[in-house]
Amino acid sequence: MRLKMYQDQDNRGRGRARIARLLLPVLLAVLSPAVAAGEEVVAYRAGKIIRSAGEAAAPGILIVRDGKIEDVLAAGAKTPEGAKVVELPGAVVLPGLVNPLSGISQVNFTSGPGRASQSNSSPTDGRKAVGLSSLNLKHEVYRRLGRTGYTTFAVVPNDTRGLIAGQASVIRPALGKEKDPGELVLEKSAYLLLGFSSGKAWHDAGLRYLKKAVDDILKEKAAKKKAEEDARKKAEAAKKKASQPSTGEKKPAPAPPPAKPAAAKPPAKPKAPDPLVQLFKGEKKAFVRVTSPAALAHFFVFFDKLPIKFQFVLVTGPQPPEVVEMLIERRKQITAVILEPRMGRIPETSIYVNTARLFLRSGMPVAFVPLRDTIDGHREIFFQLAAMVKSGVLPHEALAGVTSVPADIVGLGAKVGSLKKGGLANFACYDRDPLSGTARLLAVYVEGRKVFEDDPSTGELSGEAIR
Amino acid sequence: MTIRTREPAVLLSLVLSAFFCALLGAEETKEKEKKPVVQAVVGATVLPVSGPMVRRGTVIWKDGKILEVAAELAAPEGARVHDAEGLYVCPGFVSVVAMGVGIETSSGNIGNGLNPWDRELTIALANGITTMQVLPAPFFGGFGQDGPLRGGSNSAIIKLTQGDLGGMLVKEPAMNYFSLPTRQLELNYFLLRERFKQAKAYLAKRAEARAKKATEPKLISSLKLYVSVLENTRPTVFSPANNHEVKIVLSLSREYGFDAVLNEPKDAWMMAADLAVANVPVLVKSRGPDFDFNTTGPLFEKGQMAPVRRPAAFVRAGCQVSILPYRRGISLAGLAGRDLGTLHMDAAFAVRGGMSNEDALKAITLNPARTLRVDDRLGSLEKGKDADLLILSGHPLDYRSFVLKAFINGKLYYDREKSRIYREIPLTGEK
Repeated sequence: MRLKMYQDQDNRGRGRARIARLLLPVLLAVLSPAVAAGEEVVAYRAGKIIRSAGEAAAPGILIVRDGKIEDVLAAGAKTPEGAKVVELPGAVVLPGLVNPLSGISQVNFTSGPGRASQSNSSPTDGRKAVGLSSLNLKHEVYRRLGRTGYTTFAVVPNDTRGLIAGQASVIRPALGKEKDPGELVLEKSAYLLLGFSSGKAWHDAGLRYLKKAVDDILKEKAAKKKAEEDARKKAEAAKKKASQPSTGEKKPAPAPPPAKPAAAKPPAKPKAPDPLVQLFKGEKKAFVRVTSPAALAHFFVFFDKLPIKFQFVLVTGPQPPEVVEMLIERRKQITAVILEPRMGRIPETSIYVNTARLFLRSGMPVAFVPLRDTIDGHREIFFQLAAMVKSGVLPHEALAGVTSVPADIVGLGAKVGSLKKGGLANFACYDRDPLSGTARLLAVYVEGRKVFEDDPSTGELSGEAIR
Repeated sequence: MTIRTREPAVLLSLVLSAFFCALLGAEETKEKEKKPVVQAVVGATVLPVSGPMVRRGTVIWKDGKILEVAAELAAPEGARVHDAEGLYVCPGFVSVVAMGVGIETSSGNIGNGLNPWDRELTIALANGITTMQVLPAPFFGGFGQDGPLRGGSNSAIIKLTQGDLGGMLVKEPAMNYFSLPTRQLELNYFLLRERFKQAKAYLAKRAEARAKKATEPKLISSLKLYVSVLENTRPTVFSPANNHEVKIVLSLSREYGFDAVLNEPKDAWMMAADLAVANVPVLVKSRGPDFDFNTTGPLFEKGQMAPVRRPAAFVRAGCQVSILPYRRGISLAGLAGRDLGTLHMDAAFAVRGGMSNEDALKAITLNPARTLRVDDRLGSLEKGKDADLLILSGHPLDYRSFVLKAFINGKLYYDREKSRIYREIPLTGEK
């Protein structure tokens, strides 16, 4: 298996030669002279560019400077002076896909971490765990991430099935040269993942952790208010005293001896803020994973009793229509829904129902995550989405569900999820409409660097990088 | 909605009209959501269970409670009227026991593990059961031990408000389940008596401590169930294997003054008069196997009574009888008509064994409600009780009858027209 292909900075010449040889006339590289060091400008002249889901695909030129998108020009426009031009005549260029909830970074990555809507196991408290901490760069998987068309992953910590599962970090695929996991990170703590199930243990743990955090905030507020009140009273009393006419000359009281300088204490380390407290103060995003209909009912009974509410993204499985109705009524609390691209079934029948479609028709944003949280699961995403489109999701909604919507809900909408000025140059090139069953992934770029290119001469499946 | 205009007059008129529209709209939504709607069933043959049948009767309810049950009564102004000309109305059936229905998980307690979307719950509701005492699993507690759930709750009374968790839980725990000893009988009967004595002593001590506001004495775990039985905040179920055990239960109940309930007492029909005097309710099946598969011998021999006749025998003696379903769960794989779905058929079968129609209907409505101590709210159509009622296409004990509508707490939870269950079966006379 060849891994060197990811180190395209090293053997750019060889890579280019290979492209020219194999993808002719698809890719033709023209090296322009005199490009300022570190200020590399590349113009990708593509057959079709989909700038963001919902926009029409049109021929255009993508100008990338220093790993960032400088501009998206119309097809006939003049490329900037000194720009290297890469021709992608037959390619459909999409924004790199975004996975808003993945466990793919887990250290013990053996059989794949499972599905996004897996059931929650035990009501544990993992608020301090951060997805970044479970990265293990020695593992092959990080280099393979780029082969899927995905360029952004919000990764959650190892045990993601607790009441407070932990904080998700947003990463990009590895290029193979990173020494420190931190190099991959776009956002260390993007959101807090919570879970809920039915049962007394979950209810009690909810009281123990969530309710307690709320109570602490309320207590703190009350104490602050009281302190303010006291200070105000004191000030008033002092004012009164000062305004009273003084009788006789009074010696000014001797100044109190200067306070002994306290033993030089090392400045206390600033305590890391409690993410749960941040959540209730509205400073942190929350994803809540509740899978079964009964668990949803119990979660909302519990949630309604909390004195401070928060908005969240709901992670759930396919639900029967009556449950979807209940969730849509909660539009104020649920900002978006994360679903797997699979069908649900109406209970007691064999009638299939597309939960995603029901949500989308009511105006709820839906983000899709692959059915399986593995490399090939990610690679197959458009097959799965095509099935969703066949049963009523609109193509642009399906595309938005893996690009702009997940980018927005993890809070990185300005950087990833669409090809806009100032955003990261993350994009994937397909040879036709990606939702068609025969589309091939041609190449993937992360921050302007190629992390994958397809080789049709091998006859391997699209996306297989074995040569 | 945003309105942009620069003309003050237009703006004023817009504001005014918007104001009035808002007023009207608010009133309408208020009426829809806040103001409880009066509902009425008119023209039905009403079987209130607590009284005689009412022909061309009207049942009126509001806010989940019954306002009126009477004959030839016009529905009040503005009421939502359900025309039930030629149909039957009776209280929702109460299954005195059910297993695993409406529960997703039972770790800890039942209240936090209910599943309002359970399909078995939907099926039970489509068969007219509106309330049940639900057990998470078969009761396998050892002699004198606490129930299967660690929290000590063995059972809960739930209403089958499909899709609505809020109205589901009525009471938890509902009953104590007490297993009698099955081996080393001399020793264990001695222990049984001793522990009841100790539990009584404990309660006396505790009362004393409470009066003094001192710390309560510690309760050892082996006495927990006994104390709970003696507190008598809920009835205690015994499953006697023979009449000797029935006598023991009766004597204990008399001595310590707690409410006992006999679950499937096999030959207790022989001492039904004693049970009636002691006011001990019985839970019996009207159908049962003719053979005991454990012993491969006939279950009832000469001089014994077939299961079909047992409920009637208890009723004749004056006992409070609740009919048990043949199986306690909803079975989707077994034979039709052998589970919770045919509770009313079990009652009808008891009629074949000599019960009157009225008693049979009582045995699946008011009697189980009394046994579960919820008869102040459930079990019959009376003023002030919960509006849990069924509109049926025929007499509830008729095998051809279907539940057309089921109301719980005054709200419609099952509508045959809209439900997916039984809709495909034509009613008698329909094509």
